[in-house]
Amino acid sequence: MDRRITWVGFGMESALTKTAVHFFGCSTGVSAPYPAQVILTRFQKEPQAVALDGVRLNQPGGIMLESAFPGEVALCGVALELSTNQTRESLAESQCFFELQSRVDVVRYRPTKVGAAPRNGVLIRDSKISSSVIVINPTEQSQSCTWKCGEQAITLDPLAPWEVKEIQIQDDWYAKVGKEVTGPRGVIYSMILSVSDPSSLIGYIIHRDSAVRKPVSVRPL
Amino acid sequence: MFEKRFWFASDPFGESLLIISPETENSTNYEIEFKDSEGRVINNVKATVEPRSTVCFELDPFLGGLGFESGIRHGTLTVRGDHESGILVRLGSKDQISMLGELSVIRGENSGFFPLRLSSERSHLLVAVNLSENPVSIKGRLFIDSRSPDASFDIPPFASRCLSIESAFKEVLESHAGLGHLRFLVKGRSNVGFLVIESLVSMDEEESTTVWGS
Repeated sequence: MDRRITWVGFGMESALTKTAVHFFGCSTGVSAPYPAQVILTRFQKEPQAVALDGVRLNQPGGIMLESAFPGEVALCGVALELSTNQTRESLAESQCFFELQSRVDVVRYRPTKVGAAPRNGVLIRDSKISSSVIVINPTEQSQSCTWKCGEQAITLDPLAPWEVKEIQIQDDWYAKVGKEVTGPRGVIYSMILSVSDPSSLIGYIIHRDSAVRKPVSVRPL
Repeated sequence: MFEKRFWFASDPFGESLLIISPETENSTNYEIEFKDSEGRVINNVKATVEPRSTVCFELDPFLGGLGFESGIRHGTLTVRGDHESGILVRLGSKDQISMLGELSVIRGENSGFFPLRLSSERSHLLVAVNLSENPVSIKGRLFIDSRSPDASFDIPPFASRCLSIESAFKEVLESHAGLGHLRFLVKGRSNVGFLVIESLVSMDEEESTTVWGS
């Protein structure tokens, strides 16, 4: 019975980009607005946590990260823990979105549930988009993991406790293991990235506009 | 064997490109089925991709007969393959690009939600795809401030619809700006795929469109 669910993703807080988190606690077959608890944590080597008041099942809610944690941070980890004291209710169907907001655009993604099996992702580079990888260590221990690109294994340097970093995909990765396709939009390089040994690290592929580096899409690994 | 479903759009809204990267050391066979917004099959393509290759399809050549719905030429495609694969739809719309993954599916009698940034400069379309052979009814409830008005939408079998949030909740949204949440309940046993299109018309009339799903 899932009476406690934690999602982990990342956020950005700057003059140009703000982060919002949205959650919807729900339980199959139950429509009553039972009270629920949400603990929001922001971290970049040091975790800070706040509890959100007034959360109820079956009622969506959301908060700007800066209203819970004032101050800029270029890249941070964000964890949202949802729980209920209703002993017969499972929260397994609950949902969560994180948003990276700029004045014009918004990039929304579903953060990863802690304990979910890692997925493979597609890295892309073309004339307008390039991909990088954001790796999050939501634990109190240093963590490393190994990725696989094609047949090439890539071992990450260990991440310190609560560390979050963005790893740029070097051009020679594409040359070594990526595939090149000349399509209607010019040359597109792509490769599959897979996590080959399970760890507590959580990863995302972030697709950015090549020219101005703004995020355009985020896909969980 | 796997089956994945995606939403796509075509001119004049945007241009869609399908990117497929198999994850195995074997050749992978694919069947790609295109449906229009009424759920009619408009094309069917078979392809074999060599190990560790990538293929990119521009979708427009396969979309003959694709009509307009809510002012947009759109539909769904289903990719079936014999080995697991990474698949994305790259949707380019004016200067904006979005990478769309598989449709986020809500099972019958379950609820989903989307956050909305509401203002007079923004508009939102809820894209709903009925993945079943029965008509489906979706009950939407908008949460803004202390209000929570309802609206209902009906989707024919296998059809996709672009539903204007601003039109459906016109009375409460005309004067509202800020954060809102749309909760929706899928009635019956049908499964429904969802995503939201957000468009912004700024003061200088430049338009920006962000498409996002799961």
